[in-house]
Amino acid sequence: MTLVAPSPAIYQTANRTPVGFGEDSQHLNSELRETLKHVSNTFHFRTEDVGSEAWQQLNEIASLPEDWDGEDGLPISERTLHVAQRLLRILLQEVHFRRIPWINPDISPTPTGGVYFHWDRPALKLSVLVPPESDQTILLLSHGVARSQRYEMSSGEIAYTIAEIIEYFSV
Amino acid sequence: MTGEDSDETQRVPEIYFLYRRISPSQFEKKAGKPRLPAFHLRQEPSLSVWDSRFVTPRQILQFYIDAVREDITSEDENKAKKALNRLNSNGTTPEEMYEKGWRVVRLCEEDFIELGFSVGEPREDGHRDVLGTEEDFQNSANALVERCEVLTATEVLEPENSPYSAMNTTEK
Repeated sequence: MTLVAPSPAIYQTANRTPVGFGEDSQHLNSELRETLKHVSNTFHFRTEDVGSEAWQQLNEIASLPEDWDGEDGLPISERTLHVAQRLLRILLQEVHFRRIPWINPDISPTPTGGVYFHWDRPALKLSVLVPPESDQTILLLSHGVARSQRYEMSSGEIAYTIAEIIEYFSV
Repeated sequence: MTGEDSDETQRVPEIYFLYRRISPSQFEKKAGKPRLPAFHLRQEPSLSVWDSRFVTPRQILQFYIDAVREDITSEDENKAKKALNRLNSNGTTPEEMYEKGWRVVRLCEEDFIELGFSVGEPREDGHRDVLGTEEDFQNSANALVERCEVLTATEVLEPENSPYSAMNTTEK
């Protein structure tokens, strides 16, 4: 199987509005907001239920003290945590809309206060890095032992792209 | 065959590895391999590795304990307190550190070179700096996780007798 790494252009060409909560909610148009409400009411969908293991991992990371790794690891800032939580919420929504199975990532802190989401599939390693104190997120796609392909995007764009990849693998 | 040719044919390429110490939080037990942040730069300009010609994996864990013990006696109260916490959390012997989840992985210098890094010369204690940008390490973390070999408990905890010192002893 030849796997073509999805380009960030997927997001633009698909003509999708980024789905978000919290700070992003002002960007939601009313139609989409209604759709979300409908879906939520109909299926009693709560992102916290679907990705409970991921939420738990993220909460554990959020409570890490300074020097959490015994090697001067920095704690995760509120801003970084907020971006990571938003990414997870949007991603869970995307997965739900597409009716594809949720694949739980391994979530880990970086020594400088960032957060990693990592999906380790046989054909592809898919990682998302939320760097410390940044609103941008970094998508890293890796095959075998080569350097990763790197894309810098907003959390909405990345969530959409990851959902595309998860869908690709779940078909 | 000239004497020079003879020297050339008898020369055996030196085989050595680079070790990296992995803290418990950087090791994914389920998968049995390091997590990506294990190969990220910390608040330093280089990634620390040790040369197998100079140190054993066991010594690498011992270095950590020695450094922490030294900090315990620091006049800086915060530093001393942090060191005490580290000792309590991570153990006082390499065996305890391994038990608490510390690991040592092995890579070849070529692994780093192929990914575009340069590796500094060994210091007296066998420490070497892998040089690259933060972005380089982010882009290569996956590759390094795939390339590294996690040492077993036996390999990590075998008696302190580095290949380098063993070689010197033989020569004597």
